[in-house]
Amino acid sequence: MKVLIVEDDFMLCLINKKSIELIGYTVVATATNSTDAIEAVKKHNPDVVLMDLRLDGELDGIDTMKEIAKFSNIPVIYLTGNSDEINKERAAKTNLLGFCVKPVHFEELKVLFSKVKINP
Amino acid sequence: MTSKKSTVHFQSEGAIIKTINRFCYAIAISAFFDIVLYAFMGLYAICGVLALVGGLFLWFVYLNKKSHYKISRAAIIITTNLGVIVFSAFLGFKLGVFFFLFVTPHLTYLLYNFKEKFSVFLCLLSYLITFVVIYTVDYYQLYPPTVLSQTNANLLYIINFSVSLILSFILITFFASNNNTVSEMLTDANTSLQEKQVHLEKEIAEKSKINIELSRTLKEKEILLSEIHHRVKNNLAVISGLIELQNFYVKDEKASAILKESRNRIKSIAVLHEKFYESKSLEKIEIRSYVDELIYFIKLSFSNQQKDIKITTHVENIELSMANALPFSLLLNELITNSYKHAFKNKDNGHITISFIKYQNKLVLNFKDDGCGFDLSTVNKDSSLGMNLIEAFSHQLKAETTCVSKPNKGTEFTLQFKQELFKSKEELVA
Repeated sequence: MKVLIVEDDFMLCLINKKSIELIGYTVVATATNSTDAIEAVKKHNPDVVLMDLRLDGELDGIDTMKEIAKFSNIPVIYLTGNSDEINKERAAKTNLLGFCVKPVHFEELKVLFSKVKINP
Repeated sequence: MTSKKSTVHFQSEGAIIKTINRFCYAIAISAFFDIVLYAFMGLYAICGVLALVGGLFLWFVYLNKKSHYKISRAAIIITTNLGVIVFSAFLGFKLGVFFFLFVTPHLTYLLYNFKEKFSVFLCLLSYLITFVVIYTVDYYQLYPPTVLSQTNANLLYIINFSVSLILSFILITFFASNNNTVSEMLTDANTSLQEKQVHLEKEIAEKSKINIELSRTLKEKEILLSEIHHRVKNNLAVISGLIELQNFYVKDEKASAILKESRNRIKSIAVLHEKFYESKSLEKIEIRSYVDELIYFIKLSFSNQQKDIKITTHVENIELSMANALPFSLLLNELITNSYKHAFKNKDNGHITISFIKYQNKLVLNFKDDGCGFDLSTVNKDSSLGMNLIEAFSHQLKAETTCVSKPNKGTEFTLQFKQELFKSKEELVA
């Protein structure tokens, strides 16, 4: 399964990448902002996006997914808490797979990734 | 901007009473001169009536001084009406007593505020009726024949006409001067109000400038605080992530469990910062959603045990500040982790109940599992970090802790916290 990680913190991005690879998934690309994320989806066509809510630049994670939704129906797992009702409502309008609170644990990722339907 | 309505009293009730009193004195004095005049003419009955009228007007002054202002002005109206009728009856219509009726509109204006429309209407109507009555009596020639000589009659006609004219003139002059005074006072008041308005506008401008500055500073602080929570959470995430990666390479089960516990402790703090970052106040979090999240990731971290452990919660909507939320979260983390680690060793399923409620000015945390339990007397605290931490965090939160546990009968922790402890300094001061 191909995973795209979008995370503005370089260190966390690296750790998440390594963790995901250790549990047996392929990280096709990492991005720290919305522009790179959109480009990466176009280029690599991943099966799932692991998206941080806060990103560098004008668009946050949810807005970025709305842009991606214009050309791809890729599912997304947002990295954040789940108590923010406004973001929860906004996120529900995208192809939401779930929320994951940072720091991400293997077990949480395994549960969420198991829901992903892999592209043929 | 809201402006406070201000009323300027140009003529107080006291000032009106003073003017009416002067008018009453004037009538009384003129009645005295009339008495002299009529005495010369030999009309002693008229002199008696004039004395009565003079006395009545002096009594009105007395009434005014005793604050019976409303009675006295009504009495003045009645007396003037009756006076004109009585004098006309004695002296006849053609002696010109009716001229005094032309003074009455001014008198009404003096006695009544024009806002008292009904009273003003009644006064003017009463004078009109009086005029109609004396004129009708004259028209049907019902007056008794006059006792005055033609010369005296002509003289009285001229006197009545002149006095009523003078009275009208005095009253008109009074109102004109009063209007000028009112106009001057209005101009002064207007100037003063304009000055005050300019002053207030300046003050408002200054205050709104300060408000904007304060709002900006507050917003900056909020953003800064929010940023700190976000950064702390990310740093904790990095530490936790590194431990997680490290754990992947650890083959020893005991060492792996220790790393996992450490990772969970860090995560419980990181999630706390996430909650503060998301909370509107940035100072308090609502503990219920946090507890749910804590349970979720601890459950996941023990998912490899493949046991069916149910967790039931009853957590009231209680807000905690950062200072209390941190030890509370770690305390709860230890309690849940301890149960997962030790309580269900020989069982495939189990049940944990967590409640956190307000009860009689206290906050009560009750934690119960139906696991294997343990003998409290045999617990070696030196070798159990979990128990040590539970004790330490309970102590930090000044909790009264009771632990009931018996082999094969489960374990129950009850921690009672003083409610004041969970209030911020600002709340306590308030």
